[in-house]
Amino acid sequence: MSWRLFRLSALSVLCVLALWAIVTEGGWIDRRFLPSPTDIAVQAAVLVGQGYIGTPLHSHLLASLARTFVGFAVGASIAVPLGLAIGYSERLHALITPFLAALRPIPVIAYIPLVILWFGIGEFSKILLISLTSFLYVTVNAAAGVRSVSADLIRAAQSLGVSERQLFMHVILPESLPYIFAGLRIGAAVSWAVVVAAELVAAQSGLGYMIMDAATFFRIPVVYVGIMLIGLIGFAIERVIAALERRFVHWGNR
Amino acid sequence: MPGAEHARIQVERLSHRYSRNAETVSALEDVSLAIAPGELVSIVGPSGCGKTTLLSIVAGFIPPTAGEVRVAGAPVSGPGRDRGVVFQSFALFNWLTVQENVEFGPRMRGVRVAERRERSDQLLALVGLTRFRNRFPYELSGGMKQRAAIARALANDPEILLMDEPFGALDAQSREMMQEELVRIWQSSGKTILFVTHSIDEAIYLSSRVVVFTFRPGRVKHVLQVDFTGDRFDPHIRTGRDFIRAKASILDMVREETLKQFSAESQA
Repeated sequence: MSWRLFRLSALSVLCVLALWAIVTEGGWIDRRFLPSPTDIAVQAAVLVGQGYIGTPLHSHLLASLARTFVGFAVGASIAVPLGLAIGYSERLHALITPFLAALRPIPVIAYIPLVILWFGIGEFSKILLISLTSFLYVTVNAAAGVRSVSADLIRAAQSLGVSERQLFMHVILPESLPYIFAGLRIGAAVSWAVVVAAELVAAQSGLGYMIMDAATFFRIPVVYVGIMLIGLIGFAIERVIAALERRFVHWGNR
Repeated sequence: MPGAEHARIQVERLSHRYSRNAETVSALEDVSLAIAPGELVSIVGPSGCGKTTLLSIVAGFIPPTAGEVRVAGAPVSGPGRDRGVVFQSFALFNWLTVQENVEFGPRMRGVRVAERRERSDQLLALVGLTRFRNRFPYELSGGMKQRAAIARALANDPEILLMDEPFGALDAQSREMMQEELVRIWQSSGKTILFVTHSIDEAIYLSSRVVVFTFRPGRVKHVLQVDFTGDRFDPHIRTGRDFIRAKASILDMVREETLKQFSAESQA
């Protein structure tokens, strides 16, 4: 983005912030429902300094991040090999695709009541939900990646004398990487959304829990700070994976 | 059949049918062709004449419905590194540098680093890509990509090079440059080359023989001996009298087949 356009973006953000400050500080909107930017900034400073009712902010944050990370790691590490296998074998594709197709349109948060019923409200339930989320996105993308490998590319490799195993490891796998990374990126973003949703319903820690608890006791600025933190961290997660993507699939989309 | 017993590529009574939309399409019918070692033979014909199918069968990508292809006397049963293939789509490995692409074949069969580096250095010099050895394919122009693909196909030192419209995706100028390049590579390497193209001009310029195919089912309509080997690097060769005469006769034949293609498509 050029400097001119960047300035335009900055100006636009400042205007909205100013408008927000005016309508809230000026009393047009009830600050109990929409706190002013300064209210939120002050609340953020308090949370960082003192934590939320005795628990430091970073431990809520870490609780959410740890669940996401573990769930995502479990889901993705099953999904990548399975997705590659489904993409490679038409039979396996026929066997497994109906279930993936049935599960994929269902938002994972719809399972929260069932998962609580089966496994209670412990860590396992939340990690299960996140694993399932990332699993679905990554599997489908990895399979699509394998299927996107062009016939010419496979034929070129075969004419160069590769074995079946070499074809898979040295041609199909790298050629599928852009798709796999796209799946990881979306999977991680949705997992982060799901962890917060799960914590809203049933948790004793985490950003979702903090927001829900604060809303129950009408500590509205805390709710806003929590929401903004979720946004910031979601953004950071996406940036981290995008950086990994640039590092490992430099040829993607070209 | 000229020198059938010494042929590098022997295509014998080859037929190929496949079904499309519950309809059987006969792509090739009773095609026989013998290509001598060191020959460069082009196949021309309208789209749907089965020329790419023939090349795919020789490469071992698809089995024929009937007939047989023998390479140096042995029947073809699948793809193999004795037959290097060059595609219109380049089919380069985007995650590897140009040099790594060239070394792919030797690396897969376990050739030592020093040895395959030496070989790839030679080939990169041959195709004029030495300065671009550390670039990735997506950083190259179309002509450079195809030169890299040719070097990659030559890295296993195959006796045969199969080329499927290799210059079809290039602009007219790079196309002529690549044709000259190919003649140079062909003359210095002594490979047997089977070359499929739409371009009659290209076929006459490159080949020792031009095979004209009929439209569906693909049969050998005519084989024309055209040897412009002596003066291929003369820039005016393509406008010389003999060249134009050869071009006119092939043009008539291809046109006849293209009209069949058109009427078949307008009936469909």
